[in-house]
Amino acid sequence: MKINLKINGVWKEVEIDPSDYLLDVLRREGYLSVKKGCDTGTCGACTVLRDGYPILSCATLASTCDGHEITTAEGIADEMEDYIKILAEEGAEQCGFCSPALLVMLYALKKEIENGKVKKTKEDIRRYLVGNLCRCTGYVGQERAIFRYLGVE
Amino acid sequence: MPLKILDYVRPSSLEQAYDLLQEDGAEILGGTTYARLSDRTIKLAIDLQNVGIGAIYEVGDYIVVGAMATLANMQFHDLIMKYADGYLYDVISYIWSVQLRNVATVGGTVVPKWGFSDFITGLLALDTEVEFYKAGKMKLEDYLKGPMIKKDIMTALYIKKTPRKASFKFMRNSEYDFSVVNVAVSAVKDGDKFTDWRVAVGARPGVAALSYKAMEVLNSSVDDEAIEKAAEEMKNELKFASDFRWSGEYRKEVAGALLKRAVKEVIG
Repeated sequence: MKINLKINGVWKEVEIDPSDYLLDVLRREGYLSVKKGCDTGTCGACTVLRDGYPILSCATLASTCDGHEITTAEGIADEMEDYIKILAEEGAEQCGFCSPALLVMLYALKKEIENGKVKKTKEDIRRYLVGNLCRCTGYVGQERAIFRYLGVE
Repeated sequence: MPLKILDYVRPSSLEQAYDLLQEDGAEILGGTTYARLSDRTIKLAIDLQNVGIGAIYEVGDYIVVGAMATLANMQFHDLIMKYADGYLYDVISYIWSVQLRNVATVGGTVVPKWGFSDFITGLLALDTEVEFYKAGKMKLEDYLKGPMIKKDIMTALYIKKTPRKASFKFMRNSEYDFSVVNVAVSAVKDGDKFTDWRVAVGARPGVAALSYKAMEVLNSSVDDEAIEKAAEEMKNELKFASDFRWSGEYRKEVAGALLKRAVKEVIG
């Protein structure tokens, strides 16, 4: 079947099987920032935005995204340049596998804070990011970078 | 073998969806999060995103939550955040991750009667009804106790805005995990008194159930002795089983402790 996805601002017609998950379709289309980690909806490495909200692309059928807007880390890299710099400065990146999904989540978190849905506290930020696992367990560096980026004391 | 879908359809009305569902091998897609882990074949997958059952609104004394609303839609809705001091907001905020809650739907969680669900336990402690397109409305507890309703479509939850105080407690092996047992308790505050207690226990590991005996005890008194007795009655009334995470005996003891904590939180 054919579906239409607006990926990072550009409409694309994509041929899929009805059983395909969004993760596999995006990677097939060249969006390699979307990582296949656990493939069971746990690690968050496959996080993308659907209509502005973060979802697990490994647990979302591509067919259900027909007509929707998908944003990957490639689509927000320019906007998130400041954070990427801080990430490097704080030594927060180890193997880098989880970084694109964390970038997507942080982008969404920033918007939720601006909309007043998430409080800008360390506890609320940690709870928002609970679904992004780092297999290097590099959480301390990530937290340092995230709190610095968001201006949380 | 992973989930296999042979054909996908997105109907534009409930009537059309219901007719399609009657075909052999047709199934409704919920949020699709858990389907990922199954290994069956669906001949015709029916996606309900365009049939108009995703809204959250008030009707009379009820908050109506459409079956296709996501858990995140529900969590952040003003009606949910205001009702019972944001009790349901809290229940939902501990369910897995933000990313999952943006995909998992209300119907996709309630209809399969997931045993591990925090959401169902949380709802069961309130005055909640489930509505199906053909079978109509029924109390959530009756739906959970009855047979699975197949070949019908859940359309909405109806949560009565009874002035309740509620508390939800859970135990997990780590914060980012499913509950190994959970307890939800609520009561109507009437002046200094608390009436119409509801006590729900889930992840036993079976689907959540009410403890009518514990409710009876609490409806007569909520002094320390009564709270102890309510916990004992619940432990004797409900079945607890073992799985790869916890033994049934351990679950039962922890459920008793959580019940006592929840009741004490409600009465303040």
